Amino acid sequence: MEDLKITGQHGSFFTPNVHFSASTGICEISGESYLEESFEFYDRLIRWVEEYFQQNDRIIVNFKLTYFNTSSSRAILDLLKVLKKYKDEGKDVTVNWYYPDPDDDEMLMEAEDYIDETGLDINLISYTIEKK
Amino acid sequence: MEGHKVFLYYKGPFDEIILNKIGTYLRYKFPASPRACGKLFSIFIELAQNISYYSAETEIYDDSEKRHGIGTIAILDAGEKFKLISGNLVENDIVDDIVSKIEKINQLDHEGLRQLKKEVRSSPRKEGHKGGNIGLIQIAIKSENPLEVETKPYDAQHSFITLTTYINKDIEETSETTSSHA
Repeated sequence: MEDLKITGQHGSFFTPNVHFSASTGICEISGESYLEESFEFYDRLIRWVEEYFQQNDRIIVNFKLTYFNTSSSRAILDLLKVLKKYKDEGKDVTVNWYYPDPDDDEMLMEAEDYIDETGLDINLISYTIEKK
Repeated sequence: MEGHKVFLYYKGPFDEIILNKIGTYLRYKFPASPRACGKLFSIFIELAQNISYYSAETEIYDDSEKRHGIGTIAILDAGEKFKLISGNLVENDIVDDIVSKIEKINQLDHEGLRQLKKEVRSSPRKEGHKGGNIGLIQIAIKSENPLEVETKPYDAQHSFITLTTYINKDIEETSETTSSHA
């Protein structure tokens, strides 16, 4: 199975960096997610996860987003729901949510809301960013 | 709007380039107020995407034949707050729906808004909707101020809808004294 790699862009829209590794099971989404076709973008990630779990039992997903718009936020929820589904089926699913300090865009609050909505355990981890 | 300084005014189609350019400009406009700038940016993006997707007035703006909604956004420096105003045409039959949505939003506190956002976000995707359908709720959460809405009949089918919201500027982090905002 191939890795899924998408290099983030700051063009007309902001695409996050994606690196889903099939060999290690470590998947990272970082940067900013401001997309027009949010569902299309995240559905691709969901399809990769579904294919991955056909042959694997363990995944670690690291979210390190600093901003996302509301249409991305709904698509991210769908991805988290899929991860929760696999966890309920007995797969080893770890989700780490990194939020910046200072957290001007309230990423911690977003994660808390996702935990509430999905029932998924998400590890909340803060990291320091240089002030611009 | 006496004493209010307009620092951004745009009228026209809200295509992705406009969203990106204005959004980026707002994000770094006030380096002393990073928190307010983040809010300006994210609220602008939500208001602009509302216009882009849902304005009743559209224009085919580029070769891709994509339709972009036309509308207006103004942003003012109103002393202790920033004021954002957006306006666009909407079909008359959805006006009541938008107004009642905003009235509901304004009755809720921060926790209530988060709850409503979760409820709406968890509902099934709407056919033909590109957005999360939670833009207005997110604007209210981010702005920490009530939304104001005004509608005026435009023609037999359309009304002009104006949304106004505010963002509190950052309080000086270095100062130990509590700010004496009247």
